[in-house]
Amino acid sequence: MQQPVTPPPFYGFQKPVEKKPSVNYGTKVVILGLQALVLMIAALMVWAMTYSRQSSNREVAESIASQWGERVYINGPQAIIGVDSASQTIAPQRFDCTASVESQSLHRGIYEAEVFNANIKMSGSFSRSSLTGSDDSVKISIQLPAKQIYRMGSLHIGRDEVLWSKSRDSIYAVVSLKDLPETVLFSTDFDIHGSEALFINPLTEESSITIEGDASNPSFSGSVLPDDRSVNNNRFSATWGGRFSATVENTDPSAYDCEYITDYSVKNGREGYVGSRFLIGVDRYQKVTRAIKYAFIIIILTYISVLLIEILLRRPIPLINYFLVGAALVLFYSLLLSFVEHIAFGYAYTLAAFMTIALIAAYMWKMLDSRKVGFTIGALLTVIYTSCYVLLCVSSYALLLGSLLMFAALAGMMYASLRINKPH
Amino acid sequence: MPEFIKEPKYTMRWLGLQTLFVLGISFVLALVANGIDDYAFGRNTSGLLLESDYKDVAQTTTYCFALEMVTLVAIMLVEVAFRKGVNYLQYGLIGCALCLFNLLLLAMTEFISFFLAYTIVSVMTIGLIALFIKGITHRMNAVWLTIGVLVCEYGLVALLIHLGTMALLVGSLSLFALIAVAMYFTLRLKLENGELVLK
Repeated sequence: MQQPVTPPPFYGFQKPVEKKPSVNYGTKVVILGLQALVLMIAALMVWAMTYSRQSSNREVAESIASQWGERVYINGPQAIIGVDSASQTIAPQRFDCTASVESQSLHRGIYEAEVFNANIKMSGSFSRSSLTGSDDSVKISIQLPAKQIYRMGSLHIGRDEVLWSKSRDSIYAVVSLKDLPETVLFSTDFDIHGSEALFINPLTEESSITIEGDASNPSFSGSVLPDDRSVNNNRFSATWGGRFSATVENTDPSAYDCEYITDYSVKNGREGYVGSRFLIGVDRYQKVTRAIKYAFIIIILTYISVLLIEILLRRPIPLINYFLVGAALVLFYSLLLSFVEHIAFGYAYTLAAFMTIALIAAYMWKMLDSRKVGFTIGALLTVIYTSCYVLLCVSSYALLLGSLLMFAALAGMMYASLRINKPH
Repeated sequence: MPEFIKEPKYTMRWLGLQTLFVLGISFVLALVANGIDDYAFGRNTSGLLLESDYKDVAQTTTYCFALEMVTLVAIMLVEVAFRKGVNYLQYGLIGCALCLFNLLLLAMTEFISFFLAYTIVSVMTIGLIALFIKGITHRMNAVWLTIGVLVCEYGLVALLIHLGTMALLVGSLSLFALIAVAMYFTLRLKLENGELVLK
């Protein structure tokens, strides 16, 4: 019972007019994945640019800072007995030192360096019996970068007041030993410029050292960790006291480092010192680098939402439109990087995110001629960018918060995918 | 009587493949521009080119990829808007003209000041490409469109070189504007019987 097969009518090369476009979503998803990878290469280029801007910024900041004043190491006061070849240094019996640090930003073009003014107050005592030498006078000396001192008080010792003299890398005063009591009290204070680090040698077992002030990102390091430390907002204070072993010279500083110290000379050159380190450059590029880490997830989430919109509305969106949306998402980081060099990170992030979201939302609105779609994608991107900002700010909870957000995103996608097969 | 109509040329598939072709050709020519940069460095070390001039020339070559991309996509737009075919070889030749710009600039900068050389060479390049487009399409509108795009590009690159550290900000903002313009044109591209039409 074979029926004759009727041949299909021949239409030449005519295409059926107004054919409902059918989209192969499997292929489309693969191509979109490839697009996301290409866009990630572009994001990596922005990352490389951030890195090069950061290093050039650090170089300029270091040169600005070194003109202001370099790292400050303070060693002393110590009494020096005898002449050059047979000289002997004697540490004080007690030593208290308080350093108040005030940070200050120096600008050159778009570059910025953070430097400090420190007011150093020292007091303590020498034992009279330890100062016996051949002469009836003794030289008290403090080793520090003398040319960075911009205000110098005098040395009060016993009942006398002696003026300091400057040499290249120390200040010194010659004190007469006559009429000194058994416990020779001294005190002095001076103001010094510096940058990057302020370190003080504790000198004796019985010393207490306090460093306080304002700095954007202090870290405490040295041979011993501070007994008390507090950092809130921009104020910090750290106190070391009474725990210095008599053999400070033999301690291995690397065993005690609380913060990673990159500079070799801090580790090896100045054993026994305690103090704090400050960032010279601003850490704005750090945050941009961390923001770029979320680029892939932002691109993927946006692509998935646009794809879901395409499927739910049954309106095909060409690949090139996806690519432009992705390019706008990557360009966000370039905008962020360029804004952050001129304004604070929060404002830069808000401005760049607003521009990107407005562009993409307007594009989707006009593309699908639906205000609802525009607002939906705008709200979605706002949520994504806000959560990324929160993740950048709370670095310690970032993992927890990030995984919770991923969970929420997954749930949202599951909900949207439930509606794909529902009849309209 | 069935009606025989022409197979549509400017389809979505054409748009995708042509974009890929333009990307590929821009990438290759950007590599060539990188070679020109190396050559310029050699001329600098052998004392023929001043250090400051070398920096400017090197910075110009870094923008080669973007220049190629934007110009060739603009040629694609000309193709769709004016319905005049531009073949692959012609795309390649236009790309080569843009790449040769860098070599000419290097050669001229050895004798005259950078910005004077830049002006002369960009006028030469723009004139050549405009005449070529005139020859391909015979439409003055297409020529004016190409000239407009090229003048904007070369003006922007000169501005970026002049700005120094502020270049990143201006560059990012102009990329943003560029994406917005590209979005605008993709919205105006409509499919009619499978054929892309600029509306």
